[in-house]
Amino acid sequence: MISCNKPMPTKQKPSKFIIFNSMGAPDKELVATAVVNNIKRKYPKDSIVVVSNHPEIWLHNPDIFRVYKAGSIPYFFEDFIKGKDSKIFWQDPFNANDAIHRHDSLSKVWSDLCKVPCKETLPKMHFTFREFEATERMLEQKIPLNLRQELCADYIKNRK
Amino acid sequence: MKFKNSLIFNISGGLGKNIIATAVVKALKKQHPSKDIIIVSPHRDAWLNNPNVKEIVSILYPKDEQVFYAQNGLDSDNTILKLEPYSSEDYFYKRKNLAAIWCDLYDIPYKKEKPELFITDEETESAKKKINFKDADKIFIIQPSGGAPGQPYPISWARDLPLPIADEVCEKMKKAGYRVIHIRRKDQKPLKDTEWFELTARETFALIQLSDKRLLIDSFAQHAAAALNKPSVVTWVANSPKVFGYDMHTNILPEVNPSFRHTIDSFLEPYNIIGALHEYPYDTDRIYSVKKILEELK
Repeated sequence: MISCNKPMPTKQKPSKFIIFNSMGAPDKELVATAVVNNIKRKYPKDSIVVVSNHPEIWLHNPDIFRVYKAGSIPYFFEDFIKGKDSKIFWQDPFNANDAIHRHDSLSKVWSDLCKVPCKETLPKMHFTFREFEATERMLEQKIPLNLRQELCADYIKNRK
Repeated sequence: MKFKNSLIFNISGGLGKNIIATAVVKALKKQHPSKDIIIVSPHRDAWLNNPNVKEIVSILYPKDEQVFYAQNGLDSDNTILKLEPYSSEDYFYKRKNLAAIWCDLYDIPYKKEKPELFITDEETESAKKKINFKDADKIFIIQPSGGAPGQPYPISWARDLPLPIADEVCEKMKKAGYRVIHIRRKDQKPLKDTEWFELTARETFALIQLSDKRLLIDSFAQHAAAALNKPSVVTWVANSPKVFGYDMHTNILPEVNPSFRHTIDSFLEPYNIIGALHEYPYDTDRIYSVKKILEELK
């Protein structure tokens, strides 16, 4: 994880859109941040629009123009598809032969599906100064932390 | 059973999509003549007796698919072709025929292969028996509605032929001496004064082969008619004949202009194929000329 050190492209004037389907569990969407970085390297001038189940993963990501929560995105077709000649990366990488056979990392398989070189394989997240500060304040004890995740998110959700 | 060095071609979706896939598999077999092709699909009816296919694995539920791959596909040199043509940019922009889009996903040379179905004489005889077929019969088939059971709207304006138009065409064809047979599921509304038979999918294919004239929509029957080389009249609303249609058919588009609509729910395509009522773009259901349809059926 890295901190946000670049300003958001708030005044960016879109040239061409790239629509990217990131929808999945949080771990898949974290991998998607690496894939989108690879897409951005190949198409630096295009504006990447991400459709996500977990928009919080994408907040402040300087590689993208917009992130939308999947399910209800008013006027998406009119704004980003109709007459726009956008690039659309919508395939689910889990359906790719190399992913099913586990021949390669998911970021490599996904980048291959998007026909972009896989130069970045590490996920990227971006936080504000205040987010770091608030977290530090919550963890007032200045001792090393041992962070454990024992159950996957789906299991915790279904257990209720 | 373990498959070795095979091409495992996976199709999710309906019967029509499976019939389109027979064209893709034909092109795939040309590209890899020595490889076995295994079909994984919920619709074996589209694949029975297809000589390009070594085996058909009938899978109805996604969880069974996972078990199948764990047991049969993963620990060998099989190639799994499971990408979704409906997720392609060319599909969203309606640039090509779906079979061509599907072939592009795997760099399969596509030379306008047509879908194909292989019906046995026994299946044809069974269909004849069920419909009480006589040699003198002139059969007109109509499929005005499609979609899966349990869809949100019983009629999808985005795909179906408006029923008043369908009724009028049936009446005229009956007067012209045709037996009018309505292809529909049991739960779909019958058209006035038409015949209906509880046929299997393959008997329905045989019936299409036996028929003289056909009025169809963008559903499995128009794909089956193309596969059986039976030129038909096909009406279209939201879907594009460029993607889902065939040159051999007479493809009829709506004759009226769409009115202003807010496209608030349009996501990757302009309309939802389920036929959401607020998206209906016309101010009438007389979107085709009955006269024109009848002329094309002559």
